[in-house]
Amino acid sequence: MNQVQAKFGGVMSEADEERFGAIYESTRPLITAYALRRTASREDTADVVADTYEIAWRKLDDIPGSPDDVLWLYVTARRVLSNHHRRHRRRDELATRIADGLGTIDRSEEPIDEDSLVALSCLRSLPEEDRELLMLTAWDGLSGADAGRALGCSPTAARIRLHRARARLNAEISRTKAPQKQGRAGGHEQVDRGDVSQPAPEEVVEK
Amino acid sequence: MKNDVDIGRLNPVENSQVEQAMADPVFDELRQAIVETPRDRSEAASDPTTHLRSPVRPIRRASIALAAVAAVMVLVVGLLAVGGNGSNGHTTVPNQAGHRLGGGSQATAANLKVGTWQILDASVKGIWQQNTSGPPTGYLTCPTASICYQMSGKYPSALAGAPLLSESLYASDDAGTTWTAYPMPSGFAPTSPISCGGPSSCAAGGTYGGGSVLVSTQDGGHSFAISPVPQNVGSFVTIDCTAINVCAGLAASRLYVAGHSDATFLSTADGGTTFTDTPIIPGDSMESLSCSSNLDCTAVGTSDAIGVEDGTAGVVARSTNGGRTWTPGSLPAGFGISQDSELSCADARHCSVTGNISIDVANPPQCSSLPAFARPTTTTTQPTMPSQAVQAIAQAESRIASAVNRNSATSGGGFSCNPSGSTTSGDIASTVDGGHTWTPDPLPSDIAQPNFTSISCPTASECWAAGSAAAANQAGTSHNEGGPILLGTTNGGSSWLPVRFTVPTNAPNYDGQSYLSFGFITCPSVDTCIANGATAQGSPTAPIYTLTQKGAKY
Repeated sequence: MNQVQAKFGGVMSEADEERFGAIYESTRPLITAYALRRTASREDTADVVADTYEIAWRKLDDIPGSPDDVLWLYVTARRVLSNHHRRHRRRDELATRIADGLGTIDRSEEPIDEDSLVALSCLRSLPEEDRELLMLTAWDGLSGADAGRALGCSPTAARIRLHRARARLNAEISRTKAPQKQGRAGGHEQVDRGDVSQPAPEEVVEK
Repeated sequence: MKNDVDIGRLNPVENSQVEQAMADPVFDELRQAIVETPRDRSEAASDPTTHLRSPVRPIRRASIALAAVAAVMVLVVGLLAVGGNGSNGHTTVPNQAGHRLGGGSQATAANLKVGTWQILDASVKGIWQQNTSGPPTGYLTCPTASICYQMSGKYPSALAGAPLLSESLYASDDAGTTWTAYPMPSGFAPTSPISCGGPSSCAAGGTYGGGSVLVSTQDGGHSFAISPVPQNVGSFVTIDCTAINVCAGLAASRLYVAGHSDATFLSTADGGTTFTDTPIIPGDSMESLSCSSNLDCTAVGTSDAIGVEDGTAGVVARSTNGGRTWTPGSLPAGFGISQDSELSCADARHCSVTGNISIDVANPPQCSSLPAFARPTTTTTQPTMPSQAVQAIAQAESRIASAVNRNSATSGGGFSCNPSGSTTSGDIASTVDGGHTWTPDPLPSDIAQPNFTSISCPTASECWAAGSAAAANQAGTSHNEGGPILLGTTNGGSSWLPVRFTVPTNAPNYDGQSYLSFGFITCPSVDTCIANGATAQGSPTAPIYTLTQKGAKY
């Protein structure tokens, strides 16, 4: 196999680089969109995308073939996101330029109508795993089964959890709207369940 | 269900928009930068959970990252301001009068209620106090026991895309009890913490008008000077000012892919009029620096030679001539340095550094249901063989972390799965010979998988380390699987003891993230420290923790 010397002394093969390139080209819009939807700034997005593909490069042999490769990247990006907050990133020129490159994207900062505002607020108030399951299916376009795989549960368990997540969201919206009608502001404290790619035990139904 | 909400319409970003942005050639550069890094197969390198796993989710939004947006917005103005004075010119930005927090003169001040409200356990020395309504979190430093500064970015919310509104220098002359906010030059985006060489003399690295600069103040934030740093050295990523106008730091420009950086030692003895750029050890990627004087500096980082992607390996170098030459030292085998590592030197001989060691964490039964591709895989390459001292600490930490992981899974909380059983945990190492040799410090037996964000050593024997750990806590109605930890030692690291806080029910807890981790800690003198909490972006307040000697008044 033809090998070339990497910049920092490591050895890589052209086949590795080609495979990584193919994965990168086919998935980077999806992973970038995924990160954009979940980060607070384009700079953070740039960090998450760079870290995700850096890990993908290092673990290239572990990435399954298409179409599961993108699921593998979603899983990795989610872990990067979970850890991103605690890492003290140091800005550099390339990362800043990546962020600038994302500047052309007109991201909707907030929905304009009240119902959407309430719905978004309630979505954010859901447990992280419920929220992620809903977003993976509704925003990132994954099927319920694939979203479940990305979150580490069986298709059956994913279907049950998705149903419950939707029910919780609707209940939360109803609960929020009711006090508002009475002149009260609905507030929610976020419940942090840590970095977990695992459903609650009672929701895991392996078939 | 009748009232099913259409979640899709809440989607803030459509894929088609992103696909258009992908045409930017910078994404090809990113791909090239990634494939130019070696595919190291070490445990730390190939197992993302080794360094990604986190039992807690402390939100430590680096203001350096978010402030970059503002830097772009003021590009034209900045170029005029910086470029007009030549490469070594200063631009002085006079400031408006500062805003006293609590006086209602500033938006961020409106909700600030200053005053300590709870005194809890003081396990080590002095009295630790907690103030739930400090200024927004940021880089913190105290040049004296009473005078402190915090450089903080302001954001409208924690929502995605929320822009940086401004960067401010918060000043306190009463050890963090009250704060006055001074706006920093519009468009300045910090890339380093702030450091003070005198009570009113402070500096921070960053970008301004598209270039790398050193921003400094000689009057406690009333006015700022902007000094361009030499081209091609990048930006300050750390800085340590040992006297007025005398500062040194690490400057780097290259993307931190796989732990590599091109950090060099960048110093100035005239407040930024001129700079000296010196390489440290070729092949090393230095991450943190501490200077106890204008001559004595110590740097820690990673090295290509020992495995830059091995999270449990690190290098150290020391200079006794102001950075002109460097001598390598030796960290304990199995003690790793990462981007999160921080070094603090009380004097020329005594330093402590935060790092990582490898531990084994037992999986709970729930892990067996993970699909294969979603699990981290085992690898054949092992991390650096740890020293006996590191092994002993790792064994103790493994027991603690495994117990917490099992208990958390049983109770339905957060837990982690790792087939290899190996992950990393924070530790501290100390030196008494100027950095030639280091000893790993044993940690308290009830602190599970700590992650240290900051360390400060006011004396040779006293040090304080802050961060987070996998310890469930309750902050108001928010249940967190992890929480802030604060450790202190008064015997040079031979033993560390925790200081424990509880969070009152009504404490401000923006986005439920104000009590997940400490941010910075700084200790200007014996038994005198101030620390802040790491909060969600946009939080108008952050907790402030102060250690004062009994009876001290400021």
